[in-house]
Amino acid sequence: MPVEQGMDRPDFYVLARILERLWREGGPMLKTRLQVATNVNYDLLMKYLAWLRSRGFIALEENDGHEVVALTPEGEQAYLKLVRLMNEVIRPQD
Amino acid sequence: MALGILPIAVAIVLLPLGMDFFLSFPFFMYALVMVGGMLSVVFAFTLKIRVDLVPDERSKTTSSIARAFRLAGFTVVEDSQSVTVAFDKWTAIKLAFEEDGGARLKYRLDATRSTLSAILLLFFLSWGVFAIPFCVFLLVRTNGNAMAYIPWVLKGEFDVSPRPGEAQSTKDIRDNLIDSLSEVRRIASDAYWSMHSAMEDAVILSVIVVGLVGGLVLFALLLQTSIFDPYYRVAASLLAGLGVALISSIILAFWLSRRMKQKIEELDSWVTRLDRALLRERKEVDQDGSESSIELLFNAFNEMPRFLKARRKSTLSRYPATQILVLVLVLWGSEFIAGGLSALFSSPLDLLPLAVGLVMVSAAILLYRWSLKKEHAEEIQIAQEWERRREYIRSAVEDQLGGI
Repeated sequence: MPVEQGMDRPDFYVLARILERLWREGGPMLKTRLQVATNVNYDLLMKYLAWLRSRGFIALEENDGHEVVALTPEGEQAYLKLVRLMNEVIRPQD
Repeated sequence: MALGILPIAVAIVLLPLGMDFFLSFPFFMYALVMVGGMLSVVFAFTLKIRVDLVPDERSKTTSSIARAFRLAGFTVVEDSQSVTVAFDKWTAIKLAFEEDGGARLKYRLDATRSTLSAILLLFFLSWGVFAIPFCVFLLVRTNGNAMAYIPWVLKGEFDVSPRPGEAQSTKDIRDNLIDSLSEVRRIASDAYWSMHSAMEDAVILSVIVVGLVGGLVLFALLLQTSIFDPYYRVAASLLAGLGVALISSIILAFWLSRRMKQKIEELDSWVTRLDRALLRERKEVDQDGSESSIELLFNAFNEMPRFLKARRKSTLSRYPATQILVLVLVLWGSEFIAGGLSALFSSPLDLLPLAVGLVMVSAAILLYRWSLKKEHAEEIQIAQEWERRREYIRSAVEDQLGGI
């Protein structure tokens, strides 16, 4: 059974937080560091990573025997669309 | 300083003195000072002041200036030729490039709601002469703000320049985050200062009202005494009256400030969080576990109706024309009522001013209630608009991320 099936409906806030953290890192990131940085329970993080991976937003890679997470160009585009959307809705208010 | 109540304080405290003063003048003198007041307003709002730019700043356009001021947290209105920037509730400028032996950046005063209300009030109450010192105050204050803020903003400290090796998409993300955070921060900060000012206004007004009540108590107590009473009885009456006023004022002011303090602290905390996020995006100061900017924006987005409501609440000049009308009706109505009451039993004709006064005060109450209803309807409309935007963003996000 895929890990993401354990998740009924992903929390949009958590998804945005993970995408942002990976974008800010600018390169692959250890899962444990990502967990600390996003402040998400490890098991839950695995589910979110599986969900993001299934949509091609992130890739899991091997690095010195450790599995690292990297944002794909599609993931970066998705994050860009999110922030653009937010900006479009927020501005201007006067 | 609680500047919001200034126009009302001017009207209530100075009006009777002013009326006596001006009624003792011949008509032409009165007309002269009114014209002088009008000319000072025209002069203050048409005077153009040049801004000296350093060579790097000469390539700027009105649009880049508008963006720089927005990023610095100011309220900006932009059109094709000019940029209007509000520094605070009294001062705003209109900036534009003009041909004057080459393109020169110039600014002139622009009216905020508060300045407009104050000027209208001064003229409406035949106090046009005071427009002269008021315009001097506006010019000095605006010039001070312009000299302090324009060079600071144009220096480009808030510009987001591309970093070495940075991809365009990364810069786009940063630009969008900074734009959104600046906008929300500006609204939250306006809400904070509005709430702060509203609290000060409420405390000052309550002290004035309680002081008046205390004065009445004192008056009533003194009526019970006579000059033949022992001095301690008179002193006791005085102390009782002043004591009632003082203690009631302190209790009321303390209660009001406590009631609003929590909201003010919440707004302050929002501004601090948004400042921290902005600093991170601009300077790339990053730490694991620091608050996510996009998440902060989504949370702030949910708070926007509250921010906007707080921002609108404190503006005494929300409906300037209505407020001035209410004020004038109350002031003149009270004069008529007082005049009618003082001569109530002299002749039946003296009932007329009393009736006129009552009609005016009733009209003022109805008008005030109407403006409150209108304000409430607008608040509901804002809440609905934000709910609509929230729904829009939810469905758009689902589309973007492939069906959450």
